[in-house]
Amino acid sequence: MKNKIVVSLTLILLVVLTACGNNEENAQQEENDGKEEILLWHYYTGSEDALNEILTDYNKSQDKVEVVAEYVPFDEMNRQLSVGTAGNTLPDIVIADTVNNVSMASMGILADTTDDVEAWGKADQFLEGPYNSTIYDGNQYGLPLTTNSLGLFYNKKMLEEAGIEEPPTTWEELEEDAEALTTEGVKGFGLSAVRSEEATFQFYPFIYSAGGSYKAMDSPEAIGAFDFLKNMYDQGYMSQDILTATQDDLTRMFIEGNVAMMINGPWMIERIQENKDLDFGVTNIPKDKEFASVTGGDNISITETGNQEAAWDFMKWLFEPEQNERFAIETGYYPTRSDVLNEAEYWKNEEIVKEFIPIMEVAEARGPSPDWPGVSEEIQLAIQKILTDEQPVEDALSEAAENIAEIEASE
Amino acid sequence: MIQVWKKLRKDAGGYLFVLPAVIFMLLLIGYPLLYNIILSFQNVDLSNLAGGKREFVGFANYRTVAEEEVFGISIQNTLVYTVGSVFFQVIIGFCLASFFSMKFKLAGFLRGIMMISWLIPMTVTALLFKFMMGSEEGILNQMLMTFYFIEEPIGWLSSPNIALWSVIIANIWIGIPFNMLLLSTGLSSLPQDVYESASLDGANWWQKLVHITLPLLKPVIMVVLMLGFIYTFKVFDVVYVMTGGGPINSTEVLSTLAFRYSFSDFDFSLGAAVANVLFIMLFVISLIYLRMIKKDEAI
Repeated sequence: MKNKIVVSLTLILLVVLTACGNNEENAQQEENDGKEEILLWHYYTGSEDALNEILTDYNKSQDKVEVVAEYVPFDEMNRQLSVGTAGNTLPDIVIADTVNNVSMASMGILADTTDDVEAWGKADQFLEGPYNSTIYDGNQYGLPLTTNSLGLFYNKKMLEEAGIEEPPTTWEELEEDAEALTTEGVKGFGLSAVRSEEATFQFYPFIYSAGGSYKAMDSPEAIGAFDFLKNMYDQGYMSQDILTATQDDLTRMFIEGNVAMMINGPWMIERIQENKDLDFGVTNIPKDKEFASVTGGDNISITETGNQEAAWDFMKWLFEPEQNERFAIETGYYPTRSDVLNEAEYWKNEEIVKEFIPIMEVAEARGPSPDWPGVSEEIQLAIQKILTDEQPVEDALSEAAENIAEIEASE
Repeated sequence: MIQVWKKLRKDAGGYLFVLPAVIFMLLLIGYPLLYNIILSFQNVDLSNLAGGKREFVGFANYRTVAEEEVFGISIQNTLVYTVGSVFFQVIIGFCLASFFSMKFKLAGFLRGIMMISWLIPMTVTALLFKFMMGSEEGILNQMLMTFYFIEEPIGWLSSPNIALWSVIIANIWIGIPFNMLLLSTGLSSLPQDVYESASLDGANWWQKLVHITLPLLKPVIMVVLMLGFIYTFKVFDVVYVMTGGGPINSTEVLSTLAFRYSFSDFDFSLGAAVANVLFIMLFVISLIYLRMIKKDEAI
């Protein structure tokens, strides 16, 4: 009896152990009908089908490479990349947020594509802001795949009722209009000041417009931008809730009619349009010195451990004008090729969507800095300290400037 | 030596039965724990995570972390959050448990209904509270203002002085049913004859509570306190969803700080150091808990 138990336990153990061992063999199974398999990570949710369709087209168009997509949730991407790096299970291609491109490159997990892009000779077709977000230390790590930027969304009916004919174009007008639009239960203006990248993203156009930059947060220009927004907040033209409001929350407030004007991006258009009786428009973010905006979107890069040759072959195909156009339409973003953006019919004719074309031209990338997450955190802290009266504008910004200089120097 | 070996052989069957569990624990609990400890003594970021050269840096990570202002703040926040949550959860849970132990119609059914807040995914609860605690459109402020309790809207989540308590309120709501259930079970196991003789001696309601219920229930209450402490101490989702650690650092707790170091800054070693501090604190609490249980069983 005892022996039986021992034997069966040993058997169970053996089964468990062999089951663990099996995984590795599976991973090595790369051959697929004699084609090389390329694994791609992305975080698209609404447009997953479209992506797979595009991949199928590519896979049929030639007989050497088979691209397979794997979905990773947006919030999980950074985590999965680290896990993948640790376990040597990185995909061949990664589609990730533009701001992460340079920091991933600086950590050595991306392949240098400078020579490939040069030989390809299409670099001058790309929009400048998105293109710059792929460059680290003079070398290029991937290409911008889709792009978007922030604009001013305004509720037409509310503006009309307040006697405002044209949406604001300057900071003074923005303040006047926000005051006029603020009533019981409605705030004139809103932008996200939550403790995450979203706040940095939303405040950046104001810093740019004043002529400031993240490298000099204590410059008079940056101070001016914060003074202006702080005043708007103190006057009550912006809700206290912006301190916890994500861009999603802003959109909800805008749809519910609690906010008359907000800063937000084109990926929200469809959601707002679902509310048929909400008449809204989009225009440039009001300016101090010049119109400015900031780019978001995704870059596509090849990993250090990936199959570079095959991956680059796929990317060249993906960046042909027609694919670039199709991909951007399906994802609800904008194409990164300037020629596609300006020539394709779609963006010219689609209501609201077309308003972003001029904004795209003035949009710049955040950073680019390999230490962006750290830099951005300092900006988020400064934003929250200033709005909550924890520190006066100048003190908070000079502290941020000091810390950012330290972060950038520490490499 | 030979005797030890003999004894081992005699008990071999027993050890074999334990073996799967031991292997399971070593692989799934022991390994990550050890890895995390090693990680916290190295300098690991994305560039050498995959197998580049890792340097042993001694306590440098712990020193770096300790020098950061936010570290002290997050320890304090974690403690306030835990003590505040557990204190009110147990008191309210106890009141509800006593209430439902009165045998009225539907008592069992209503107690079941109360469990719902325990069943809702924590992220959903956190989101709901975030909506309700909005300063202008939030229902909480609207209600308070309608009944003239307050004149100005309260910045539940936007004011650095209040935000931590708002998150605590949400967590209290989440934890009440769990405490209630454990305490109910404890209450129903108390011997009834003690109460009868106390009534005969003329003890009133308050005296029964203080001199009979609480002393008899003490082991259960201690266990509830300990479990609640351990469970609340490693909070992540509620804080992450409701405030993300802000405004400024007013709701930053150890777990969100560790997450930020590891997966936003990719400074895995710093993240590991913070996580280990969290672990050590929990470990001490767990030891106390285990000792208490042992004592109970000894009686």
